[in-house]
Amino acid sequence: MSTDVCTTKQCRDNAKETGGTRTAVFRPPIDIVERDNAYLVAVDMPGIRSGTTDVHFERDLLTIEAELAAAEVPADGYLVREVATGTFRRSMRFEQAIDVDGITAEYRNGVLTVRLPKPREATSRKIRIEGTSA
Amino acid sequence: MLALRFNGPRHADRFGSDLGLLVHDFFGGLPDFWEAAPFARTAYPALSVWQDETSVFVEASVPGLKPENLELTVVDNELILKGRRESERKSGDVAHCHEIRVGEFTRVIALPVEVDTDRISATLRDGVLEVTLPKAESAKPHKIEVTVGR
Repeated sequence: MSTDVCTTKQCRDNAKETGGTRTAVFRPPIDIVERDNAYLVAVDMPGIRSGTTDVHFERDLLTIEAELAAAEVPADGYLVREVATGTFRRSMRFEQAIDVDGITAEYRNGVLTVRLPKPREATSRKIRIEGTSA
Repeated sequence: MLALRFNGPRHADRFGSDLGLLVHDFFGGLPDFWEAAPFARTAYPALSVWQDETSVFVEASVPGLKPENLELTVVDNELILKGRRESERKSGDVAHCHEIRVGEFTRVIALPVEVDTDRISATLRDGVLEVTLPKAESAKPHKIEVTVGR
């Protein structure tokens, strides 16, 4: 089984623009970190419009989709406009085994963190040696 | 036209926005920022500024920050936003993808009109900072009645 998960270059290559009713507009930054018993995916998503978040894991692909709400401003009222709004979608492939039923997601301070636990057998276990004085 | 003033101390980086404005951005903690996003040529944090008759509004995207990580100052009709984003990494973590920028940041916005500094309010929710700066009385539009001259 391949031990490679997303490297930074792969993050960009793997992001899929799948067809759908909403067009992906921009790509929010993502961090993927591997801990002893889980992978953590953090996505910067400040100001999500409630009810628009969708996180799903299918086969080996994690897809995160949401809509960032825009302030109500008349079109000619903006002096500077850099804040991203609209829908986005990012996907990443996990070649490592994931305990899919144990996946959780939390949204705090504008960051969505998805925790993908590794299956139990994948974590290291110390094996006791019987019957020796070792 | 709103001006975002450029001031070039060391570590300053100059980025043009779509409107061709000069932006004053000043990143401390260089290694973290460059390591995280070496090719990202965008100012941080993203800002939107707009106004209506009574106030100027500033919105900043600051995910991962709490109020204690932010510092907002108004001086000489400029709004200065400073902050620091901490890394969530723990020792032993293996990073597979590292796009989120951490470290210190500063942005300076020259306000288009004079504001009433005593009544400025700011809220932070879900990583979005919203600042409302009521315009000073003298800066609001005043209708002037025209009388017929003789």
